[in-house]
Amino acid sequence: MKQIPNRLKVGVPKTLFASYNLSYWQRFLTLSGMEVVFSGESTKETADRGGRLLPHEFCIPIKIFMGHILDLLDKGVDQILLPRMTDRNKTNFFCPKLIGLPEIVKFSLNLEEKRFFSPEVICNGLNPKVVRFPVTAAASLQQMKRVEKQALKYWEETLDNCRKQQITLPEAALKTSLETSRETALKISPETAGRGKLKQPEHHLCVGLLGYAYSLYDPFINKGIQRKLDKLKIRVYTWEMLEPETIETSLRGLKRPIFWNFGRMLLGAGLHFLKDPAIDGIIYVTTFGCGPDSVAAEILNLEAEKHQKPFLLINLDEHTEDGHLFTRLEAFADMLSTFKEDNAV
Amino acid sequence: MKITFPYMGPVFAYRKLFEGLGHEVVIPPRPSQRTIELGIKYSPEFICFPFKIILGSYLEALEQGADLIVTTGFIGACRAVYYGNLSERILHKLGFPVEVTVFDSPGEDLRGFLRNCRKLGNHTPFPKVVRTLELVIRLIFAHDYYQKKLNHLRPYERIPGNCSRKWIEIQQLLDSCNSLKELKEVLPEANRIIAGIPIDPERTILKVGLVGEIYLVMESFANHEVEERLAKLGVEVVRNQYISNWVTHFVLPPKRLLRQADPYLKHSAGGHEKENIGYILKYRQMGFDGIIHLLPFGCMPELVTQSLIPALSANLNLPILSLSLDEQLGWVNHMIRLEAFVELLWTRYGQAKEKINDGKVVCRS
Ligand code: SF4
Repeated sequence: MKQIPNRLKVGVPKTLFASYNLSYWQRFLTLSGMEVVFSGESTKETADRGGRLLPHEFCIPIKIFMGHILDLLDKGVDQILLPRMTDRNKTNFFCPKLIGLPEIVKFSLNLEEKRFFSPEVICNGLNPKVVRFPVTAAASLQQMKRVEKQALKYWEETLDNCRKQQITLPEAALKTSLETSRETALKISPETAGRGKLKQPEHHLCVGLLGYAYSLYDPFINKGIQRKLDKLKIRVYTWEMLEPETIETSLRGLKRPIFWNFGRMLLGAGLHFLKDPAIDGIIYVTTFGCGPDSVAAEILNLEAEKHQKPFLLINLDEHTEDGHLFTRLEAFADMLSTFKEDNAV
Repeated sequence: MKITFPYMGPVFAYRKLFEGLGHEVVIPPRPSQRTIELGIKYSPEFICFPFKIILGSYLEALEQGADLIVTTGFIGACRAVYYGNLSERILHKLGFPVEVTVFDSPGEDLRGFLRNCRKLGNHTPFPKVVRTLELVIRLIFAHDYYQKKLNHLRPYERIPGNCSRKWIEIQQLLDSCNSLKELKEVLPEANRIIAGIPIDPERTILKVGLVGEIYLVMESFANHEVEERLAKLGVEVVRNQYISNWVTHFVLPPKRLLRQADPYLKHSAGGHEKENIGYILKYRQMGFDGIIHLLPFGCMPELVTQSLIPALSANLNLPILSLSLDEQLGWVNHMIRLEAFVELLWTRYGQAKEKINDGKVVCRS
């Protein structure tokens, strides 16, 4: 690609929506001729700085998101990627806090509209889709439309890799990025990418691990939960490893459909895991203050009881202690082993 | 089957609806401390406060023999969409063989809507259905009309608590009507009751708009009788969350109001947050002295509003107090904030008046 002297510098907060489809956004922006700047990793400071801008009962992911925005502003970006997350067909919805995100950011930071790059986006839980492109000097509408298709294809490949190789999203993203050009290579640290292991002989338990990408794969929030499970010889399965039809089929059994786009993926996967004899138990990771999870996790909890499958709800907050978390996971693993033995006889 | 429903707004009118359709009805008791405790005990920990109250009152209605719950659902991003389904699951787990019928809007799910109607219609002859519906709707509107009136008079009442006592009388009057004819007959009586309340029209009062999550705004037991408390401090409370408004807005969405809120929130987040922002702007235009915003702890749509409030308040030069209530009945803290807020409003009022007397500024606030 030609080097353009003054490319528009667009900051991408590496959390929330971008935790899902970072590669999509990166592709889209780079191919539209913009320079992409990522925010740094989440830290305690990110959370504290962001948290100060919001009412205290906001969920941690949004507080951290605000911190990422501040970080990008510090880095001197021209614009910040802040998609307007909407819904056009009333079949699935973003979480209300994500719907209101552009205004929350704009008014709590007192920033002008022109500081944001805000395509209007819908999402069915799997694929993002831009339904309205913002006007920008960097690229024409045609160009953006074209590269959005490419970006989407790239994202679909990433998801496909998750399914084919039974790996998590960050692992797949890391793999694909190694195989593609430098220009669009993802800047993901190996820590974010987890350990990237397939089931190995030492794994003797299988667990369905559920949580939003921005919590589950953010090392600051997740307190290294995947590493801990690995240490306990537990192999994890996540929603992105399942075929979309599998998820949809299990959701079809619900008397009342669930409408949150990311939440329904988790619930659908969870309902499938309940019926899958290969899965010994389910761990649902939620964060303090999450609204949709208070419904989705409870539905799953009640269903798990009916299916007699062990279910563990982990509610992470800023004060979750490493040791305490490990103890809980350890106890759960013990229970799963006993349960498995009992059922084997 | 014995029908019950969420305790919200004019429950006596809902009873008439189902009785008119030939059902037995259990009115859930007005939520008490016990209701709330029951709700907390069996609800998921982080679900919203109104869910806990409603679940608690379902449990109380079930104790009295109800076995069919009728409620509304609607489709959207707010958790209220799942209230019915989630309570059904919880009640089943507790061993109650209860059925929950959830009404979505006919625009969203016409077939389900018709199925529900047929089920509840209970082969009632059509003219009777129409008559019952008309009575119920008129009752709801009358209920809200008088409640608005009394809220307006309350800060002027000469005998403290008079308006609230008369309100009970009026509700009983409305409850006694079983036909449109009877309703017509009691209305003059209700008007007489209102006219008979001794007031002091000369009193200087403040005007405050009450916005927020509909359940907390409407239900006095959930908001610690905030309207009455404020009236005692010389504040008239105006709100727009009534069942009648909800019905009206359902049929005719308040497009203009919502459009005015656009600069602050482009897309609705699934609750009444956009409408609330519209009302804040409207109350400002109407020259109100301040706004009180109520939300249940962690309410997603209203948290969006809450995060916009500092900007709204600054841009409009309008004091706004946002109170987030939960099941911890520690009202003391909120009361202190409420009193301080009213104090602030009085100071602002005084200052504005001085300015007027100085002839510098002619408009208040
Ligand atoms: S889904 Fe939960 S964690 Fe995510 S933004 Fe909404 S409330 Fe926060």
